[in-house]
Amino acid sequence: MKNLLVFAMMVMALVFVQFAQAQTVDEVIDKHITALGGKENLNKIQNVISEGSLSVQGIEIGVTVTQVNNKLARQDIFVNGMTGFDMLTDKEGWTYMPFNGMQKPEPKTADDVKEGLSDLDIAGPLVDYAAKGNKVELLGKEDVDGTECYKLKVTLASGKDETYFIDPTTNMIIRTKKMQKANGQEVEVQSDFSDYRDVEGVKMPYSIGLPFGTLLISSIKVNQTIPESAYKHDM
Amino acid sequence: MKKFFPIACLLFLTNTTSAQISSATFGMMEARHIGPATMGGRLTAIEGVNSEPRTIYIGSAGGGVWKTTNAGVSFKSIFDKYCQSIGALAIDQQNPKIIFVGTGESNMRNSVSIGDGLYRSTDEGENWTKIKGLDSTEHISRIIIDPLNSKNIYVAAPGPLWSDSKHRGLYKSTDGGNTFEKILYINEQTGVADIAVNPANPSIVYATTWQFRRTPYSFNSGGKGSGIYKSIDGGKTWRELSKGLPPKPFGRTAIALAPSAPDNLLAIVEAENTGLYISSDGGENWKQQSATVNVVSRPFYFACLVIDPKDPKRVYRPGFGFSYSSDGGYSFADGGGNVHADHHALWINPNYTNQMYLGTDGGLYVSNDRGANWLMLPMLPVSQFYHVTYDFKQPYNVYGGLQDNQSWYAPTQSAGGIENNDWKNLGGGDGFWVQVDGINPDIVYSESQGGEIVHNDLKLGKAYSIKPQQALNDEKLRFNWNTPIVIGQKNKRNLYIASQYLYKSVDEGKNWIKISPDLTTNNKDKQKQEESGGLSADVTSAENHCTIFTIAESPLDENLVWAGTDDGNLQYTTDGGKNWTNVAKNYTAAGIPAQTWVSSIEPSRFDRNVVYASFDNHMYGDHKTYLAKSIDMGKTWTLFKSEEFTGFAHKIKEDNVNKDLLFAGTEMGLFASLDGGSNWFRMKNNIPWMALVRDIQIHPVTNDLILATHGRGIIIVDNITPMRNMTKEMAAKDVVVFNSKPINITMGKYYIGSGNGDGYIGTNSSQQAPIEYYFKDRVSRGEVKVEIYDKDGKLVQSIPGSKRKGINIVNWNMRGTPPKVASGGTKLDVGGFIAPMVLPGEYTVKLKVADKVYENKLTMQRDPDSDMTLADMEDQYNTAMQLYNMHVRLGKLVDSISANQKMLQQALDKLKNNKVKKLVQEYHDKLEDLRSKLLATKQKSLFADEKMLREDISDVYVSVCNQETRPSNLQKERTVVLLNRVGDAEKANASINKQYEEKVKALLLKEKIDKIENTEMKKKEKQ
Repeated sequence: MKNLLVFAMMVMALVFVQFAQAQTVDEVIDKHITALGGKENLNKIQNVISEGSLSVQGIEIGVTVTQVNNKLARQDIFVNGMTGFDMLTDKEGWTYMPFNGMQKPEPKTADDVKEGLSDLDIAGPLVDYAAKGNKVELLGKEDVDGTECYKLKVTLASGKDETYFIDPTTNMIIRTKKMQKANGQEVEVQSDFSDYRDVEGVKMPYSIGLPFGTLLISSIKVNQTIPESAYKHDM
Repeated sequence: MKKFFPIACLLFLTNTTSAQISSATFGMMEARHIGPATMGGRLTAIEGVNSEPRTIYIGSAGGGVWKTTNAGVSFKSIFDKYCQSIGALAIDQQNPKIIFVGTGESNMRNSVSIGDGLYRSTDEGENWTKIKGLDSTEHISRIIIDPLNSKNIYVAAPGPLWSDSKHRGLYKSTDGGNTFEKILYINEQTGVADIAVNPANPSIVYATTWQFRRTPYSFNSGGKGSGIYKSIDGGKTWRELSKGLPPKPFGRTAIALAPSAPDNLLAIVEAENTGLYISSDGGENWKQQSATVNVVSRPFYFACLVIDPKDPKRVYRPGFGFSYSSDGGYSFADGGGNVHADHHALWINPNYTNQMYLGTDGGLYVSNDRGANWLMLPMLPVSQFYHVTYDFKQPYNVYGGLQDNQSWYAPTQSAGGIENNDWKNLGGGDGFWVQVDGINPDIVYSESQGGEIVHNDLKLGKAYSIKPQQALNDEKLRFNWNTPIVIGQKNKRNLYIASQYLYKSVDEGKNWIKISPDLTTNNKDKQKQEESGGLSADVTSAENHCTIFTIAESPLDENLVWAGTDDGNLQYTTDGGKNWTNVAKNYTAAGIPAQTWVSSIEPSRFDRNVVYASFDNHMYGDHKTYLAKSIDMGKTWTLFKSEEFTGFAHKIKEDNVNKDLLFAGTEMGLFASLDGGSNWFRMKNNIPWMALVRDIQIHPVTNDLILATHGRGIIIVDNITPMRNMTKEMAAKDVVVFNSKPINITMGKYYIGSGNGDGYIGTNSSQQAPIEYYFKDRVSRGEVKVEIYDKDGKLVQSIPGSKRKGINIVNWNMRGTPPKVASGGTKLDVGGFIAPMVLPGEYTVKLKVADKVYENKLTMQRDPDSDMTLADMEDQYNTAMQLYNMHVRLGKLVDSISANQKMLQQALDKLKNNKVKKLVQEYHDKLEDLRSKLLATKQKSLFADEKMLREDISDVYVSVCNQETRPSNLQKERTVVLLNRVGDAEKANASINKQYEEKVKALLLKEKIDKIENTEMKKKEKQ
């Protein structure tokens, strides 16, 4: 149970990525960005605060995700009246999971911080991918649980590979596969996205399927005032 | 545990919309793989990344490609969608993300599979594309990439085993593998078996050509086409080498050069007298060197010869056993210790040549001392089954025989997963059929090749041979290498085995009755196995022919028995064997060639005139999928057709319940039809798309589909009832919530103990209550929830539902929602994660899809196998709920204390008056004193146990929730004690409040600190 929480928390990096669909990579990416709400609306988003809960066998874990474009990605987790968090800025990262006995916040390694930089980009690696130094390859189509999806392989400037699957009927991403570090090991994590709703002109997923359960979002707020405390790693 | 039996909620009338039924229709009904990996063979190729030698790729004979990135600690299967027979692997060492896979194992035993060409990945095996041009080579034995120029790639294709073909020879690409052309071709009977490229001067290429052919009854290795060739211009021109080599004809030649001194070559040349030859001048001159038996045995099958990358004097010959030389091949010693026999691949870590990996017919081994000692890595579930059967134990066991690896059985559920040590060995050589006696489940029949059937008494631990002997007037008995052993479907006492005669026993094989004459063609030309082998005699019963291969007793009538032979006869009797009718002539009218090997027969259990059969003609070079049905006892046949079919057919199976549900297993996939064979689809749900499916069984109690694959072990699809009930009409509906048979309330069986976690672990099936529903399309908008309500309309649990297209299965743990335990402590409490099991009764399932609700009933009942009575269950439930409610009460109490404290803290922050401050602080601290006794508030370390009231409640609560027995007397006593403590805590809180609340309120008002929002309580109330 403890491992479940730690694991689940460490993999919750909500990244909004755009994909377009069509025969060429750029056509696909463009179509997807349009479906998402368009580049203009996407670039207007400077921060996002999402609240939701992860439900596993009747157990509810509260989650608040705070993202500030290129500055902060933070998850605050609430279980049983206890609070933990996982945060990453462009300079540092901290984890505090008292659920498994962690006594105080622990810093992430410099490597982790470097690798996580791409996760701070709210718009995602596909928007202006070339300028960001990313490469995108369209690998044809692949079946995702019965839905034929466009399969896009993204190679980030850092060298990391990520795979995105887009449902051609909705032009939205329904699955991503990324390598994440959990408990010191590299694991491929699959996330499923659905129930996209409009938030300030941009479609955002309200349901995120993770390996250990489904994260159901209850509210998403955009361009709020972010308190200084969000950047702090005090308990 | 009784399995779920959904009944279709809809009746079909006519054709409806274009709902395409495919693998996707069955959504989450996914297969699980149970291994074994303890026999992890056969392996055919190993290649590692020189610059990162922890990354190694392993090719297998029927289990695809596996990859490790940690030198063998763990593996991942990376070729699941493609041909599973792997002939060769190559890594572009300059760009190690680029990998080539040549399909079609080239160790040409009789059971060898076929490949469908060459594949390439540019991302270390994550994604693959097929390279055009070599699709029909059927076997690829070696791929070498020019170490100085990755654009040059050589592919050696021995080519088809069973027929003439132009698709063989040495192929070369000069554009990195986009296109290939043949650069060395001899004739339609001769391909290329081996290649070597001089790494210092890669224009120098050696290739050995090989003429060979197999028929169903013989093998020939050797012919005029075989030779050893050398090119010095990258393959544009070739010269045949001969100086010092033996007189031709040659058979298969294995050739190797020393990477650190590439003018030094060794060759094992199959000839009239197979020998080892050494050259020190780049192959211009050769000299024979005496060699051990292991070096020169079975050259068609053992073609592995490797020289150490750094030391030209160190030579390795993995073959039947493991031999090595420290003097350049002049003398060999045997090493290898306890390694399984039969080796086909060796990879030496060039950075640290003490370390090497060996691929054998029994699995993967690693050595760190140059082959002196080996450690087996039991991680690869690539066992090759021929057949599978099951018993009726709980959980049921599966039994089967493995190529090279004897016969085994294992349970299909085991605590911690099905591990290597769950598999029990029945002994033998190559295993094939295994059967459990129809009357006595302690008796199991197994065999070794050629009809060596053994009667095993598992209870007494005794085994003895019950092989039928040649009777007085019999011809010499001809047993197929894979002799059929079959239990009667109608009369379970009947045990059958066959040579060219069919035998029946009703006393466990102690006595046999011959119930047929020679049912084969008895063609003497096909019975000269002692001459088989070609240049090297190879007679192992593998080529036995004119034998009975398959037997089936009708489930409706024990006197109706069918027998199929390997030489094309298909015969039946209706009077228990007195008279036989051969319908071989009749199936040819349907388009099946005469003399086609009959691989399986399936008499229908619904109509005695209906019979299905599968035919396998690959040994005559014809790989078509032949599956046919007759409705008039074999007089006329209809061939099933589908564009989906790939691979020659091994097995056809009719469902036990739905006569229109058919399954077919071929060398390249598992197929299903829901409409009696008109339409077929490939079953993919976690089944490798091109799995070699040799046998299919359906368990009558659990309704599991059990597959014996020849390279991916045993694969099970749990409970195929939804497939039975799926119709085109149902598939056209947007949402269907399946009805359910009553579900037994159980916490799960077989969970005592746990394994040691070594090696591959197969998955168990879920033992939770499955809530099954169907979506025509993936749900992209809105939430999907499964809610369960009790008979009073109270919500028991809410589970997020999956949204995929096809069948969805949401597992309910048969419990309620855990209590909201007291919160705000320093550690989590286990009590907040568990709820008691529900009681038997009527429940309602509500499937909520966005704003629509679909309801259905669900009956939960007491497990009749349980030793708990209904009264026990109620007692357990009531006690658990008492504790549950205590948690809730305590939770509310602690919440109110915490909220109170927060308010007081806020006041403290604002107060200036020190006297008031002191009082408020006192109030706060008294509350904290109380609170700290109600839940753990100090302990943070995992290793320091702080137990307060909340933890004390959980102690009993969790035990009671997790036990399938009534609460004990002490548990009940304790419950009462705890209940009183909760009451006392509430009283204590009330008392403190009585003492301070009014006073403090008044004082705060005076200090003009009022209107402090009790936001905490407001929030909690909302939840």
